[in-house]
Amino acid sequence: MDSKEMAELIDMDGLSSDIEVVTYLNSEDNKRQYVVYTKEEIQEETGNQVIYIAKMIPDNDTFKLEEITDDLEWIDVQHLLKSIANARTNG
Amino acid sequence: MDDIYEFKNNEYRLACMQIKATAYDIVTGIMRKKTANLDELFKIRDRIVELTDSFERELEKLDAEEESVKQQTSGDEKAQELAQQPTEKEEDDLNLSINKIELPSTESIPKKEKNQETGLEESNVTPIEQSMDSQTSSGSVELTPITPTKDKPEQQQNDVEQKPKTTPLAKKKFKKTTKQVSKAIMVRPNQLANLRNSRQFQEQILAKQGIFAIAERIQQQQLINKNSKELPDEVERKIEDLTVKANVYYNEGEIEKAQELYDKIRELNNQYQ
Repeated sequence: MDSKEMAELIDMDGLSSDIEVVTYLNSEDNKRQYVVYTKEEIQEETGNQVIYIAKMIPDNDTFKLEEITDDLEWIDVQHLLKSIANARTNG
Repeated sequence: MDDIYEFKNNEYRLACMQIKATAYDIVTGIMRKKTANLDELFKIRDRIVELTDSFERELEKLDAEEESVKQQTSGDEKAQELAQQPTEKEEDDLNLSINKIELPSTESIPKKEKNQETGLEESNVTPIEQSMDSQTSSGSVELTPITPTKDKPEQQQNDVEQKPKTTPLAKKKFKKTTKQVSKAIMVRPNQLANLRNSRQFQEQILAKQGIFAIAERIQQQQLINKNSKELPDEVERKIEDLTVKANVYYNEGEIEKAQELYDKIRELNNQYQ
């Protein structure tokens, strides 16, 4: 049902690459928003896939990505991810 | 000695007299100027008064004219209303007779050739327009109660179906501000699927916060889902209720319950697809 949402990631050198936006996260205080994306990096043996998480800040028509450096913030983000990713397994 | 004093006195006297004379001249001159200025000011004042009086008279005239015009227009409208009332009933009778008579002639109208199924009812439009336009000065004609309603929702659906197809969604752009690599996690396929399924839900939340205008995209997708296969009314209501509850749960922090409801919604959609 949900088609993949592709996006463009532009690095500091101006090089762009295609990424898939997996989902978005919203902090509990609604002050920070995060984007979860993947570059289709799949582990062949297990089928596990790498996802990246960064803070997104709207900037006109684009979004700036800031890396998570605070440990407490990273813990909160992990909690948010787990609550969504493991929803079925708990149910 | 006396002569000298007298001579000096005379000189002083002369000087005094001259000073007095000049002072007198100056004062009189000033006075004259003052009077002249005052006279001029009085003249200007009088002119201003005259002008204001004339403006007031003209404004009064204009007000009187406007009132007379308004009275005339109101009288005309009343006369027109009185004239129209007895003729509206006649118009209805005329329309029915005109429709019956002019049905075969309206087929020649090029605009109506496309909708042949509703030709009968749409052909009623043209004679009514002609009769209404001739009798009333207004150009707008309310034809909606006469035209059929069957085709309209179909046309609307067709329009809606076309809209999402013709508007491709632009890719979002994310610009990195540092050279550091983002935090990464390895997830299992089922976890990744759960995260993907939550994307729309999360987009709605961010859209409400004004992060990005994703509401239009979601609406388009919903319209596509609706128009692709029609869901029963009961199912639609269930889905709506579940979405509302899911939003409430999420806002309250009960993410798991919200996710469960979202899964139920997805299952219901999958059942009818």
